[in-house]
Amino acid sequence: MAELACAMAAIHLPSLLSAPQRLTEAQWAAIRGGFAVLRETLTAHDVDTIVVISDEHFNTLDPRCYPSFGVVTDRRAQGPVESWLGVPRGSIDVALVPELAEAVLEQGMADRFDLTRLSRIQLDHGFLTCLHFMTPQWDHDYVWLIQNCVLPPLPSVRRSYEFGQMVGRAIRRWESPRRVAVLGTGGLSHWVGTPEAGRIDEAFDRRVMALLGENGPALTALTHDELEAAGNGAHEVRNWVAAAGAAGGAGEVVMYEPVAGCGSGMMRWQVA
Amino acid sequence: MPVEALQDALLELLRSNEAVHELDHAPGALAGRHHLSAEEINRLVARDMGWMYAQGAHPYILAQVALTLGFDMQEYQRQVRAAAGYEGETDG
Repeated sequence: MAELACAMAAIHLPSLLSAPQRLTEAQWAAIRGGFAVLRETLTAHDVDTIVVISDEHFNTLDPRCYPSFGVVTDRRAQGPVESWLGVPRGSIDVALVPELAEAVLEQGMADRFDLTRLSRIQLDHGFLTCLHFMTPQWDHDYVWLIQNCVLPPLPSVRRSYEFGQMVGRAIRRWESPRRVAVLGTGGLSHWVGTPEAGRIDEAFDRRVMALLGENGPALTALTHDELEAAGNGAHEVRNWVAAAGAAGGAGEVVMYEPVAGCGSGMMRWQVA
Repeated sequence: MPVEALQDALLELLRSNEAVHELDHAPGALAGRHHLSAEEINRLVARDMGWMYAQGAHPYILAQVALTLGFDMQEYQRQVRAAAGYEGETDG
């Protein structure tokens, strides 16, 4: 059986690629240091496959047809789809693992998740940004799971946690020698395209990371309104919650900095 | 959803270099394809982000279109704040 080796989460702030000058040297040191820790975690656990849980920002998916939970089942995918990300459009080509994607679809049906099969999805910054720093050679295999964090009504935090638990089960029950990491991306507090853009709610960020670290019942008691109050981008915390659900163990904060209009953090969890 | 046609045009701008070129050189074609009103295509050509925000365009889509068009994001912020009558924190 495959092994769920580790779980982690990180921001996917596009400015890291599109506008690096917005960060100070000290902020860059914190960000680079955090990604180095996550990269070393992958290496220490001999990970060969990374399951990315993120939202998609309407670059391929459409508001007319956006699933609550989607599974990308292609064998390869290209990106970035964005023209403005600071990385040439379509220049990154990654290997996906459709066999594991299918295992997630199967486990989802068994666990009462009616997942949506997605294909011909181009990679956007939700998938690419963290990995650009964590696996810059793109020398791992990947699976992309998409959660709706952008188009209300959104899954509850509890449902996102259960989604992560289901993904963890799918990995552990998959007949494969692979060693798998789960990576949730996005968040923390930030506002995208709204009048409040630029604000950061540091108190919210620290409270949520503490709850994610405890990985107990208080985490899944977080409400939509609590996330909404920390910005329309804070709903991406659901991707961190899913990673915590997959891991099941306690988490630790790798780094946190309020950076360029986004509460910017990284965490990793023990696998229970 | 009254904003749907406008949002469809915004999505095409996100995804297509040709549509971006068309916006400035043949806006009638873009308008025709998405059945935009005269006001909608005029506001789009004028990059009136505040107006489009007030119409209900999804802010994720609108912000990314602004980036795609090379729009000054401080000006974007100024426009959406003015359109929303926002007087809160402006630390961004």
